[in-house]
Amino acid sequence: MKSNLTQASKLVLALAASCFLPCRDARALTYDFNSYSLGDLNGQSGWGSEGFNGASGIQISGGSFDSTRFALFSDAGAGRGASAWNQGAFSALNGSETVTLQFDFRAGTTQSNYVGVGWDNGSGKVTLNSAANQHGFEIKTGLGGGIATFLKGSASAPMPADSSTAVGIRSVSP
Amino acid sequence: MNLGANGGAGLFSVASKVANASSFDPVTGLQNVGLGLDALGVSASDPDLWNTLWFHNEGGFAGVDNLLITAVPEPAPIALLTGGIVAMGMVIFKRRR
Repeated sequence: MKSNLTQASKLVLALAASCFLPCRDARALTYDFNSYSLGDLNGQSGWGSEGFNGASGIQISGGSFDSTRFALFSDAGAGRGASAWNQGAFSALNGSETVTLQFDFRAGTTQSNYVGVGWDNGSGKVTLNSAANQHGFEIKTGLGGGIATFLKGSASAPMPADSSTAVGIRSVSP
Repeated sequence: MNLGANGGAGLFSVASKVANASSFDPVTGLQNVGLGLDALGVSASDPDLWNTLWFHNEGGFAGVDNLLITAVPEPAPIALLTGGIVAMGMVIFKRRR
């Protein structure tokens, strides 16, 4: 059967199809913690967690954030903190990808919170206290109502102060 | 984050919204900032090595929820080139018939 497509249209179709080939590899991971057990996050669904300076690790709690379960740190005290990590949650990123990292956080006014992606170099975890060359990209929130900081680039800017602010890192302005 | 932008050094932008807001607003001062990536690096400056999602809280109450990470490949030049070669081959084959 003779095709009704012109040579030009075939060319356009082939090029258009090739443009969509990489889209098959798009990946997305979401952690809403809603199916997690209450208590220590450590050991649940690939997550590790540990506290510092006598603090307990990150806990799964429910009810007071958005009426569902969430990851909570509430062990106040000088120098106390906790980290959580999920190694291998996604296969290593590719340098030509566009990456979106989005999260909701709720915080008091004096603490610091970091969320980021990084490279575990064999220690099995990436924490704030681990070697800085593992941190990759991270955003810092909290501290007086909201400061976003990219440590590698040392960029910072005030963010809207709110006890339940969602933050998204996007490749383009929404 | 566009990892391949800025000559491979990457760019990032930050947007935020308060609770119950309908959309994200760009954070002034954090738009199209250089990521400082090094595709040939041997540390986390090379995004090809990124394999861990992590967060850290300190100083008091803090809650984190609804973590989302997406990665969308840019159209690969080799795919475009391959598509073009295939299309040209089709045209040449058609003409010879």
